[in-house]
Amino acid sequence: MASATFVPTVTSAPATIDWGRTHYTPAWHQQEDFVARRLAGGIGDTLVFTEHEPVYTLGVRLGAASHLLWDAAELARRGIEVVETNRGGDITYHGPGQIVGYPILSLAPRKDLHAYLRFLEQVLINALGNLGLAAARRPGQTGIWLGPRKIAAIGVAVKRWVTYHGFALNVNNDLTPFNGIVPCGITDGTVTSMRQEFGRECDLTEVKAVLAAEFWGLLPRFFSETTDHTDKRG
Amino acid sequence: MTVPRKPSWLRARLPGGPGYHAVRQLVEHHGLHTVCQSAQCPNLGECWARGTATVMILGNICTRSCNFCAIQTGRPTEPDFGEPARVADAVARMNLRHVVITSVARDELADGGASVWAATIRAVRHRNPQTAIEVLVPDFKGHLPDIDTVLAARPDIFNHNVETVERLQKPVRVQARYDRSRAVLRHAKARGFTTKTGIMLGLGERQEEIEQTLRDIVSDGAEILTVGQYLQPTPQHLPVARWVTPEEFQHWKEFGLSIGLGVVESGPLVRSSYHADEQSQKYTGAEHLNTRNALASA
Repeated sequence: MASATFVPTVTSAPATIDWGRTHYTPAWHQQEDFVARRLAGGIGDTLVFTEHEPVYTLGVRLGAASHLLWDAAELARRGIEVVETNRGGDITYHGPGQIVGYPILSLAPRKDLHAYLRFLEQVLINALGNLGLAAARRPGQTGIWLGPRKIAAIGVAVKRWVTYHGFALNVNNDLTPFNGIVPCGITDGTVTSMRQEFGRECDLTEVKAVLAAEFWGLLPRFFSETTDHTDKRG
Repeated sequence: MTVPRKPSWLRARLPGGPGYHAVRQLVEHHGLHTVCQSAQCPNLGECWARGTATVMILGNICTRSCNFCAIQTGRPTEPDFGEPARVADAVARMNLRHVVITSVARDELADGGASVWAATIRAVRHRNPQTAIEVLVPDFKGHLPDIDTVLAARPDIFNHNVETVERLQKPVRVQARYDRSRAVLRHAKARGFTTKTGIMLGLGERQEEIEQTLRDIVSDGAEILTVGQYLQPTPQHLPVARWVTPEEFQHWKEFGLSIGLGVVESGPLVRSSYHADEQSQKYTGAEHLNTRNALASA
């Protein structure tokens, strides 16, 4: 007979949801709502996909604002918002055709933010591999690279070990807005997209399906590993 | 001592036929390299006529200068990060049930090219989920994290050639080592993979050295072995020390099987990927014969 005092924690099943096209700020508030619900046990681990309307977001890194090159008039003309956020990292751009992934994930099984970043990188590397691009980490810099060309950005936050914010993968989005910033403060590289690499539009639905498959496929091992076996040079 | 001219059993079929032309067109159209061409493989005509080819990734310029190998040595250009997609597409068009992928050595890259390797395996599998993927990899300078990067993409068969007996490693493959190649094979075996290796005969090795090499391979856990005649690709490469007879190749096949190897492909014209589709069935648990090849009947 099992102990009568043992009450298992009941949480909802993991889920992938697609918010479609969103403005950045309401989506950010929605993320915070999801974090609260994840903390309360109302929802399980969740992977959210969205595409944002054109926006520059500033991370918490000092000097991020100085990496915005275009003035207010130029931003208004191009219809690009600017939002200061609480994620890690520097300035970046989001816009239609770029797949943004927001994992609302309880890190209770493994309270290691560095390992979580390496996990997100591996999800992107494996997904891009499936889709035919040989991406890799770049020593000393977050994000995912094809040699000197950055194809995905990563910037995360946690509240009581529940994650939010996440990654942005350039798929079909227009890359010219990256000319208006020093993306992530990087001066020795350029930005690319899947469309630019392949010379054709990619199927966003397929890319999201591959990302979700890699995310949920790698998650159990990420949780079960206790030490960091990822390549330290990356 | 002079070695008599090439014996009759080494005469290979000339390239030609509809399958050959279809493969050639595909390879050119996709901007791919094949080890068939770069290593001047004598079986190119036969394999391409069957509609199959062994793709060589990471370029066609190798950072190493082995004295048996025809592949060009030099300083390669930046890797082609979109190559995995084109390899996956070529495999789909050839309708290969078993594909062998190999590469040049890229010792100048931080990861030795392992990330391109892993992406290629994933891309091929994503596009061709039924295809068995055999990889013939360099030694990554023995750097195990790079090997793990490749293994994480789950190739079906992991091949790394020791190439020759221990004593002849230095003259034959200048920047490689016998113990390092064995460590690579043991590492993949320890991770649970089906492993395969190969040696060339006719480089000056002695009978007892061949026997010891096969015993070493068995003790490292390899399941599949290829044994073939070394051919001198250019006068700048090592001369052929002797022509090994078909009877002796048969002897090594029987010896290898008797000491525990699962498959031994041994013959004058045997190369690493020769009849690889026929060997793999035993280990991949499914039939992966390239018989319904799309291009062979083109």
